[in-house]
Amino acid sequence: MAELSVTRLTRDYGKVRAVDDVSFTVADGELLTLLGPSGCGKSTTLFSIAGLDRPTGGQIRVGNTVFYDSARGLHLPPERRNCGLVFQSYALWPHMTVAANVGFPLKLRKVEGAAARQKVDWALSMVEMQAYAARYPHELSGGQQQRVALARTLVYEPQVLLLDEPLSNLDAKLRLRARGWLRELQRRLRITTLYVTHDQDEALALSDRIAVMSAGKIVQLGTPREIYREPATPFIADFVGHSNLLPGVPVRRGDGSFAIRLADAQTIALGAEPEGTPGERLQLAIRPEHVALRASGDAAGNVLRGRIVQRDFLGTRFEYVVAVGEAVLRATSPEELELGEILAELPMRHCMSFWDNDKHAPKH
Amino acid sequence: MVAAGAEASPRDPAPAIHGAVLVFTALLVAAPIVVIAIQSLQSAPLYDAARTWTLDGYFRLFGHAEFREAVANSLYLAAVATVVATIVGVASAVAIVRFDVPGRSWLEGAMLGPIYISQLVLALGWYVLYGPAGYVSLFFQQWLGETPWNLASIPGMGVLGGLAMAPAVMLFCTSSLSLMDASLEDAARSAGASPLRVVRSVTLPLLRPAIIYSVLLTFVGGLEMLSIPLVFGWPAGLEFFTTFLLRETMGRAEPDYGVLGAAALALLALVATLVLLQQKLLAHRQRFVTVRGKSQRPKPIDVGPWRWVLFGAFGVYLTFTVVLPMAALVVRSFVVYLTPLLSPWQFLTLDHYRTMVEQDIFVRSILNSLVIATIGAAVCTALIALITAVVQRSEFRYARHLEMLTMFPRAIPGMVVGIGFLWAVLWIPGLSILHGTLAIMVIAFTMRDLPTAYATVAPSFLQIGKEIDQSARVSGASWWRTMRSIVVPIARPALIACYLIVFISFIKEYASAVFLYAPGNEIIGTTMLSVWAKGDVGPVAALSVIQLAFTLALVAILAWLGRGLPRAVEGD
Repeated sequence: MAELSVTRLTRDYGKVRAVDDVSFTVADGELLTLLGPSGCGKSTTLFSIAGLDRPTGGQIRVGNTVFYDSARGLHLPPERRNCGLVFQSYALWPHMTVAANVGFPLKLRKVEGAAARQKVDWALSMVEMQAYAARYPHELSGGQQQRVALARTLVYEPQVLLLDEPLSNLDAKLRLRARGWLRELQRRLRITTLYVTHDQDEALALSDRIAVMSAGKIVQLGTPREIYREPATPFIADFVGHSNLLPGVPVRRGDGSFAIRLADAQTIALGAEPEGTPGERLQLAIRPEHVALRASGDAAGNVLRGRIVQRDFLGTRFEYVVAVGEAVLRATSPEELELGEILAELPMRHCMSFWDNDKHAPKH
Repeated sequence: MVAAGAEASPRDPAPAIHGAVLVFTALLVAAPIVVIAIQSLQSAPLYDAARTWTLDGYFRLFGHAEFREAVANSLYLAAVATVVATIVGVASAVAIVRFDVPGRSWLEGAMLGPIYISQLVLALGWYVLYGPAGYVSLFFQQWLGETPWNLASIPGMGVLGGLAMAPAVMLFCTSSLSLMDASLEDAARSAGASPLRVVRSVTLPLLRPAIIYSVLLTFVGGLEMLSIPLVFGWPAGLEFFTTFLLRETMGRAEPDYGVLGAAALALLALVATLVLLQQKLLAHRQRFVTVRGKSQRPKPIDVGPWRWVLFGAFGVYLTFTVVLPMAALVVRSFVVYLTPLLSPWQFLTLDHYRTMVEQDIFVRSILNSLVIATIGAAVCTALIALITAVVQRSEFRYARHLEMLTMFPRAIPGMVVGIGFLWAVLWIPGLSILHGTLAIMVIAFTMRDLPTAYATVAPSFLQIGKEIDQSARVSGASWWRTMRSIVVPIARPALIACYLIVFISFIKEYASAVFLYAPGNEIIGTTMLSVWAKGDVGPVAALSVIQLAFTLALVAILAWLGRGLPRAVEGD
C-alpha cells in the first residue's frame, strides 16, 4: 500500500481545460472521494491516474513510483502502474468465465497453478461470489457483475484502488447495500482508494475525505462533516445538501449584528459576517430540512412570510415549495400544511452565508 | 496538445507494431500505383537502363485512335449499366422492404445472391443463353427469323452490366431503407397519401443520397468492368478501357510500356475521382436519412393484389437473369453441344468433368485457387485484424491515415492492381523471386480485398466497449496482449465471417490475376479466360460449375453462422 499524490495536474482538450491545476494526496489506506457534477473533470483525473488518459501537465506519484511527470516527459503505460480500476460499466470480459476474468491479471503476472487458484478463490470470497466462478458475465445480475469487477482488481493487490462511479448502475436498494460492504471491505483491506462519484450521499457515507470539484478545479477538500457543515462556496452548499440559495444585500446594524436583506425587503439575521472579501451582495444558504414551516404564530425573529405554492407527498415527509417574494424556498416537514400563506423560520445556526463577488460562479 | 509519441518502456512493442502495420499497408497499397506512375513517365520499360523521363506516353496514348474509341465505349457502357442497375436495384429494394410481397425475406436473399457469383460466370451464363449463338437466341431466330436483341452491342452489354451490378445497388438501398424512420411514411399515410404517393413523395426523396451513391458505384463498376466486355465485346471486335489494357499488355510481343502506364494511370485517376466524390457524398448522408438507435424494420405497406404481380415480376426476373443462365451453364457442362435444334439428351457426356481431373491445367487451376483462397484469406484476415486493432484500439497518431489507406483500394480497378504488381515484381530489386508465383497473387488479392475485409470486421470492433480493453490495460496487460487475449477473441465471429467472404472473393478473382499468373500457376479465373479464348465452352462451363459449387458451399456456411448476407460486399 502506498500514498497517492497528485500535484498541479492539468488536462487540456484543445482549448477546453478539463482539469485545472488539481493537487491532492490520498494517504495510505485512506478513501478519498472526488465529488462533482458531470463534466467537472473528476473522471479525467481518475483516468489520468490509471494511465488511460495522458494529462497536459503536472505530476502523479504513488509511493516512490512516479506515474506521470510532465517536466520529465514521463508517462508510465497503464499496465505498468499496478492500479486497480473498477469501471462504471464493470467491463467484464464477455468471453471469459468469472474465474477466468479474475484469473487473467494473475496470468499476466505469471502467477499460475495452485497459487493462482488460491488467489482467485480468496478474491471471490472477499466479494462472496465463489459460487459463481464458472458462470459467464452475461449470466450475472448487475450487482454480481459489480462484485466480480471488484474481485478482479483486488486479486492482484493493487497499490491503489480507483473506483469510477461503481454503484451508479445499481438500483437504489442494492446501491445502499453495496455501499455498506464496499466501505467495510476497504476498511478491512486498508487499501488506498480514490472514489469518483456525483452522488453526495455516497460521498458522505463512504469517504474519509471529500474533494469537491467544479469546472476542473477542486473547490473544497475536507472531511464529510466539514464539507456538509461548512461549505466553502454556495455551489458546494447547493451540490452537497441541495441548499436553498437566496440572494440579498448585507445589513450591518448598530448593535454590531449582521443580517441579509432579501429582494422583498425581509431580513434574516446571520451569526457573523461570512469570510472573504466583503462585497455589495451576498447569498444566504439553508438546507430544506432546516427550514421550519408553521401556519401561524410568532412572526418575530428569523421568520419569512411566504406562500406555499406546491406540496409533494414523499412518504416519510412532505416537500414544499414556498414563494418568498420573487425567490423560491424549498422546505421539508413531516407535517401536512395547506397551500397558501405560511411562516418559514430560518434558524440562525443553520444559516450559511457567502459573499457574492464572483459573477461567474457556477449555478446548479 | 500532447507531446509527440508515448514514452513507453523499451520492452513495450506496441509503437513498433503500430508503425510496422502502417508502413506495411502503405507499401502494399502504394507500391503498384507508384510503379505505374513512374512507368507512365518513362521512355522505355523500367528494366531498360537507357530510359529517360518523358510525357511521351501520355501524348501517344491520347493520340491513339483506338484508345479514344475504347474510352468512349467504356463511358457509354458505364452510362447504360448505371441506368439499368439503378432502376432495377432501387425498385426491387423499395418493393421488397416496403411492400408486403409474399416471401419477402426469401426474395431478398435470392435477389442479393448474385453478389457472390463471379461476374465472369454470370457473363458466361448469359452468353450461353442469350449470346449471338445462344440457346434462347437461336430459338427466337428459328421462330421469328431473327433474334430481337443484340447483346454483342454496347447498349446490350450495358444492360447486362447493369443487371450484374443491380444486387449491389439493392444491397445499399435496402440497408438505407431499413434505417429510415418508418413514422415518416406512416405520417404521410395518416395525412391521406396513397402507398404509391408515399413512395414517390417520401421514400424516394429520403433515399436520394443512397441513389446518388449507387449511381457513382455502378458507373465506376461499369468503367472497370472486364467480364462482359471480354465475353461479349471481344468476339464482336468492340474495344473498352479494360480490354484495351489487356490487349496492349498481353496481346503484343513488345508492349508499349509508356502507353500502358499512362492508360492504367488514367483509368485509376478516373475511378479514384469518382470514388472520392462518392465518399464525400456519403459523409453527409446522415443529414438526409433519419437514423434511430433502435429502429425496427417498419411494417410493409399493404398493396392488395399487386403483391402477387410484384411476386410474379421478381419470379420472372430471377428466372431469366440468374436461375436459367446458371442452369444453362450446368447443362452445358454435361453436353457436347447445346442448341435448340437438337435434343441435348443425345449429346450427354461427362467428358468435360473428366477433362477437369485428367488435364493438368485444370487440376492445377482448381488446386491453386483453393491454396490461394485458403492461405490468402487467412493472411488477409490476420492483416485486417491487425489493422483494425491499430485503427480503432490504439492511441496511434496516424490511425486515421491507416484507415484511409486501407479503404483506398476501393478506388483501384482490379486490372490496374494486376499491372502494378506485375511491374513492381519485375522492377523492384529482390522482388523478382515472386514473379509468377502464387504468393504474388495472394499479395495482390489481399490488397484488393482490404476495404471489403475492413468493412466486415470494423463494426464488430466498434461494438466492443472501450472499457473492455482499458480494464485489461489497467490490470497489467500490454496493448499487444490486450489485443490477443481480449479484443480479437471477442471479435472472433466477425473474423470468421471475414475469412469466408475473402475466401469466396479469392476463388472468383480474375481481373488482377490475368497479369500475374504464369504457366504452371494458373487459377480458376485465368484458366476460364484462356480456355474461353480458345473457344472451348464445355470445360469453361464445367469450371464455372465447380467455382459456383465452392461459392455456394461457403455462402451456406456463412448463412449458417447466422450473419446472413453481410453488408460489406460489393460486386467486382
